[in-house]
Amino acid sequence: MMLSLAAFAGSAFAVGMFYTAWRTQQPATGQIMKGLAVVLMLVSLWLWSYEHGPELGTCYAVVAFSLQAWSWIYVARQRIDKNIKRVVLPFESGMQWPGVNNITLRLLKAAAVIFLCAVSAMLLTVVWTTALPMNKVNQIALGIYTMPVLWGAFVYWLCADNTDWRPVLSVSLIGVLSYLLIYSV
Amino acid sequence: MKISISPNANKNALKSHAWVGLAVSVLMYWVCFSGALSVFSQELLRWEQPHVADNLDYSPATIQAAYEQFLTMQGGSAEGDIVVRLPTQDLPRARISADGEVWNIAPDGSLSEPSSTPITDLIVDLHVALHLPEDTGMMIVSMLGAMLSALIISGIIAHRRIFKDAFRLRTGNNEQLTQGDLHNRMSVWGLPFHLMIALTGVYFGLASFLTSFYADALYAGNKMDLFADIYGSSIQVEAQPQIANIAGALTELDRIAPNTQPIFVTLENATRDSQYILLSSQHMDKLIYAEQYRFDSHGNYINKVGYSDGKAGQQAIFSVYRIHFGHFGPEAMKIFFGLMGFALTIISVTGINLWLAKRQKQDILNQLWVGIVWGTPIAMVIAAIASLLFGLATKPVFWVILTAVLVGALRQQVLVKTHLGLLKMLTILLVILPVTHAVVHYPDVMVLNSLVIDVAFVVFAACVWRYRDSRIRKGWLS
Repeated sequence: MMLSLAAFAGSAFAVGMFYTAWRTQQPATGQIMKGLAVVLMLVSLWLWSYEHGPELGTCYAVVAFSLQAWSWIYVARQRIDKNIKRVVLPFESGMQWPGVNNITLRLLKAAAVIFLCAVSAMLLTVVWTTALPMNKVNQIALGIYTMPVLWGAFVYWLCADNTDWRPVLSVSLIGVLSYLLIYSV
Repeated sequence: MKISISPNANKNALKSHAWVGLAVSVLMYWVCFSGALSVFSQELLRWEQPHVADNLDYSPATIQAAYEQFLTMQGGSAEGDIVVRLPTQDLPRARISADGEVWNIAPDGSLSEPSSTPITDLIVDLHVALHLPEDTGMMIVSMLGAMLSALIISGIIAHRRIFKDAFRLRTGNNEQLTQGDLHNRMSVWGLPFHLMIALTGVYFGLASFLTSFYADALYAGNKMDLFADIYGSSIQVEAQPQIANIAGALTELDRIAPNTQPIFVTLENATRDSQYILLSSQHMDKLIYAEQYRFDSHGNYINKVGYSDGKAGQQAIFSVYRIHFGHFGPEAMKIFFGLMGFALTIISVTGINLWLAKRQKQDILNQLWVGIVWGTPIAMVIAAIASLLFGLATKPVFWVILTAVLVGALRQQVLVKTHLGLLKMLTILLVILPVTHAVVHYPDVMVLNSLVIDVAFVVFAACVWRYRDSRIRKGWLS
């Protein structure tokens, strides 16, 4: 219990130091404070893990740190009470629907986001994880935890690129190559 | 620290963030909001049936008696497995279920009454499968997990001032500024949690697709071999008695794994010759849901599946549930997870609010969004009240009320009126719900769990009222 309290206090101090580093006008002081904050965070993580084991300890450390940071931000909020006139925007009745071509394009994009990115992410995940020198169960577990990130990255690319065909083509190619690697080797 | 993202990359990331965010807006909001509430599903279960006695002290003999009575009621056979949920600190009630029937077990080992928790089911089922058929719904919800990771990636790249604004929260008259700061600060400082929710969320509905590819790559297409490696291979027993000796197995477990918390008794192949007992017991220092100890129907120990000391990957897979729902550690952890879930809900809502504000106009999209955001809790509370008072099915009531709120919002042309009206309605309903609960369940309601939840509703009502009041003070009505 005492170690948990110490860990909690440690991460609270770490957040405080980050805040001080963020506020300070002197870069050198800021760097030192940030360094100390990182050290305190690591000490706090170690204390949590020592008391509750590495699995639960890490979870407690992350949750405590996030909540402390939010609390700090709330306490240190800036109140800006300028006399800003509230602009009431006019209500436009009805809705402007996009044209058929636009809707078709968006539906195709949604389909690519859901199906193409998902399948390619899964296939590529299988390829890269099975190439690692570890046993099968660990490879699968690693894949389960990392595949959504890969899927998310593909979705990001597909929606961010200015040319629609480039990510679609690239992601498709990645999927096809991964498929060939899995099923032809 | 200087991280340089080109303005162009930043602009594109923002475009991607907006596209994905809009595409999943409503579904993401429903899943996040119901997910935050689902963290407290065990407390809500008890709140719904406060007259069912909480009891942590059970003996193997009482569980055996309950099982035998249940089996007799079922005519001595069961189609699927029979499952007994043993009392634990977070849910101090024993329950037995098979073939879709769930009964509470009284402290003396008799079956007290069927378990009926329509309000909790309304919330949990919305989170798990959006009230759709389970397979389809779970797949859609899992896809939202992947979309959440896409939003996290694009959000980080789009946030050019991620360090510069690390602690900035500007409140006051400029609503858009406050919402933007809230959106960014909650996202950035909760990032590990949000990412973990996204990654584990994908597992529930989509892991089977990924494991199919793994089976092809590593097990020559044999999925059973893959499952055996991860979940442990099934065992074969023959000529087992029809009535299993659960009491014997529970007593034996106390000797084999003394520092663990038994949570489930599952009778695999129940009432058949190949029946055996699976005792799931939680290791309190680990995140895995439970270790499974196997016994034959006579109550003789066979072996354990081996999650608790298995490969790191096996343990990681079995930790998904508890990491996702925060069902580990002290009760305070649930409150923390609930807060984190609400933060994710606020992030979803403020994200769309910012997009709507940037359009510099108001139309039916604004009305619909306000209707969805405030109509969802309103519909949930009305469904709960209708269930408590008249025993009405919660899910149809929820959807009818939500539709009515949306229609009402569309008929109104002044957004502020819709917004304030819905806030007023929610405040009143959040007071009516605990009062109704207290009246319907008096005097059983006088237990700590029910009182805390009822008071929590009143506190939420006060928060909503304060929020509404602050909007009026900011001149929304002028």
